[in-house]
Amino acid sequence: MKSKQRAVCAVFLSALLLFSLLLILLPAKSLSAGERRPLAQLVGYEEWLSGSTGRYSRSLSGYFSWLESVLQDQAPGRDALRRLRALTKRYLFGERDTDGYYAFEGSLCKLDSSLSQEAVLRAAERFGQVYERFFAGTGAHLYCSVVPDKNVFAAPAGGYPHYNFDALRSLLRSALPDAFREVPLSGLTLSDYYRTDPHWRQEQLLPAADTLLGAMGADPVSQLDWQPVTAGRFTGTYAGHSALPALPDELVYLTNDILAGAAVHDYESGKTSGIYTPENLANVDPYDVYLGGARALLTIDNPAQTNGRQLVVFRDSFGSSLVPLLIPSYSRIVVADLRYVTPEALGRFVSFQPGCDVLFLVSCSVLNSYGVFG
Amino acid sequence: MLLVYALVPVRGRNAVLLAASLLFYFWGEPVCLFVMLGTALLGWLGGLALGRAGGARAARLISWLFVGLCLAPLLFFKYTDFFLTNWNALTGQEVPLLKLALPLGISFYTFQVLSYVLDVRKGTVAIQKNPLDFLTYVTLFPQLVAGPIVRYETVERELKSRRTTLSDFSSGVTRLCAGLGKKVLLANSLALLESAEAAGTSALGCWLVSIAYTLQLYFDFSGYSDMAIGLGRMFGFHFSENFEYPYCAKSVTDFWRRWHISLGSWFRDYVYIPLGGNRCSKLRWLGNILIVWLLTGFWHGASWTFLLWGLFFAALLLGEKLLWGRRLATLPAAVQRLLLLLAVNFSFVLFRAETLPETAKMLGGMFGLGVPASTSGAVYNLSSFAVLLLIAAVGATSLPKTLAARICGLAGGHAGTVLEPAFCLVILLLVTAFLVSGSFNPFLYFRF
Repeated sequence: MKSKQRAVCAVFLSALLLFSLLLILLPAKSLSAGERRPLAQLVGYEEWLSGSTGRYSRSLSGYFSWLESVLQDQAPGRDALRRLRALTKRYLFGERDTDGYYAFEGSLCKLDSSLSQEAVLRAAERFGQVYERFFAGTGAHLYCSVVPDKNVFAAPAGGYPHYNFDALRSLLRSALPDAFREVPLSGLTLSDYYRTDPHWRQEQLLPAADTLLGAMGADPVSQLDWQPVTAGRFTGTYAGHSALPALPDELVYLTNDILAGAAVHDYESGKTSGIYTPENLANVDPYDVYLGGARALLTIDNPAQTNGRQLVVFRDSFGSSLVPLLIPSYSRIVVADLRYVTPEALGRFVSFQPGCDVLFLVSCSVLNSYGVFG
Repeated sequence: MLLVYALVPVRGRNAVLLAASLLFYFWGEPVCLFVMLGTALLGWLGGLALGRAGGARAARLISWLFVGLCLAPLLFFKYTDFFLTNWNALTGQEVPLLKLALPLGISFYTFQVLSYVLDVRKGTVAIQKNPLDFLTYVTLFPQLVAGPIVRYETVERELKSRRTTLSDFSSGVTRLCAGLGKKVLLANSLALLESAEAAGTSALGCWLVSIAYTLQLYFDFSGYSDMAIGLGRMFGFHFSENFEYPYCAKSVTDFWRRWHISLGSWFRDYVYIPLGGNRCSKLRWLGNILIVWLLTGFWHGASWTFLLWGLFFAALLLGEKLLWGRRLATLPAAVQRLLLLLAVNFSFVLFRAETLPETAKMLGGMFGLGVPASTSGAVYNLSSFAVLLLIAAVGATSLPKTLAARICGLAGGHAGTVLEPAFCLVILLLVTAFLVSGSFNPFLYFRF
């Protein structure tokens, strides 16, 4: 009996001591690479008050609550503990998703079960405003394409709650001006997406690029000579957020002589660079390698194409990896993200060629998120 | 803190506990620390005043005076807005509400202080002349914010002199780990189902929500009580049990002997019995039952739903004593338990709701009124949480404890030498993992 009691006390006190020592001795971490977010750092009350206190009230009570979040963020072995929790929830409690993330056929997905009509209608309204402001009566050709997220493939097959993707497309189509023509991206499968990230894999997108280009009356690109560049292992945001185990992906980008000669001008930074930014592979999100990541407004000039055609793409992050594949068919591509640039600001920076092609390429997860488009 | 506590001389240990308790409370509720200190001071002064009372009449007056004074902060912070809201509704006036934050644990520490004053008057406990020792009792951090309601008589002797034995410390650690596991692993996980948006939109969803909440409430509160009892033991205190597998009860009377025992016994000893208990006319007895259960409901919260919740149990208890109790006892034990669980589940629908229409909607939903029998979201939630619900259902019985005792007794008791520390380590690791990763950590009984 005594030996059991001693063992219990020894285990408890050792665990307490070890955890406290590690917490004190280990240097504070500034960033969670997995979750793509900065970690809370210990600062004094006055310093804390001088900055943004976020969701915490500006009081001593708020400061103490915030200190608990510091303790959570700086806990020794945090990533391993997060993984342990995810595995416990999945395999001990049998929960089918962990904080909304689930694994299907080795690919991590995020639940999105209900269709937000308000969000879709708001997006359509914003697209309509852009059309009226810049393209109505200019002879521009308007196209719209909704990028399915991984749920579209995984949720029905895995028995997870989901909304009807076709209903979303249909709702968007009905709310857009008649000038828009929808281009369905059929033929995609779950394997066309990264296992650990919401995004699609560029090396799998040539058929989708041909579909879009074909609909817009432009030359297909899949027969061109593309060289895949392997940029190393890639662990995406879903793996980081869920802490669920999944095999890491390999990040590949496609290039060729045409893309090598093209130039991207970024209106935010005022800099001109190449299509891909390999230096961004060291960023928190290596997906930023495509067109520099989340940028508000870019123009891509392709000196190899002399047809003079201009394409305007309104996109979200899915467009970053797809747009480079469209470059060979156009002399100039304007790439705008309506989440980061207002139509008013857009008009101050760029002008659009009469008769240009205009593509709204947005993922269903962005369309279904209320507030994204104001 | 453990280190400091172990190193200081025995007579300085109350001061260490007091400092830790005040820091603990200050951490969670810096502004309201003075409300707690004020209530404690009033209780202590009340004890001293009772010691100098010249006779029974004076003692009665003094005790009522200090009971009133000690109750005043609780009434002010917890019930003012309830009365103002109803006053406004009745008179059509628009008296502005105070919208005060409820000081953490005020219902618990107020009742502790009251028990001291009333026990001093009865002469069942000695007057505590040392204000620091009395303050240590009121603020004792293990049970300060969510009970159990520790009576002064329970810890009177241990406040003066106590010894933490190896057996106490180790059993305290095991109890603390069990409580942590119940709260962080089970109650918090059940809370995810309870708050799942899709779950309340169908009959199946409503049942899932109500069952999850019933289990969550048990694991949340009994988990906290386990932590309090375990921590108390680690510091040499022996608090009374607060839960005895209430969901294994066979009747409502039995349930209330097992659920929140410290509150039930408090109302029994300080309200029901002084009112005359059952040694009076039947009408008076009925009145006593109603008063006690209205107060029990009102103690839990200042709203009509809590009052009705108390009345619901009063009705069930009266029904059991006067109408169907004997017939109920002849039914098979499983049926009795099932009926009790149904009654408790319905009662917690009332307990959970913030308004009466919300209660009606939920109860109606459970019977399919205005909602479909099921939705894909509810079916998904059922499939996703089935294992957890099963673990929780089994965990709410005495089976795990019995099994653990048997397994630890294997090999002449040597199995426990390995398994009990391993259990503590695994629970500590899992609890840390859950606390580090999750920000969703509701403590249901904190709001009382």
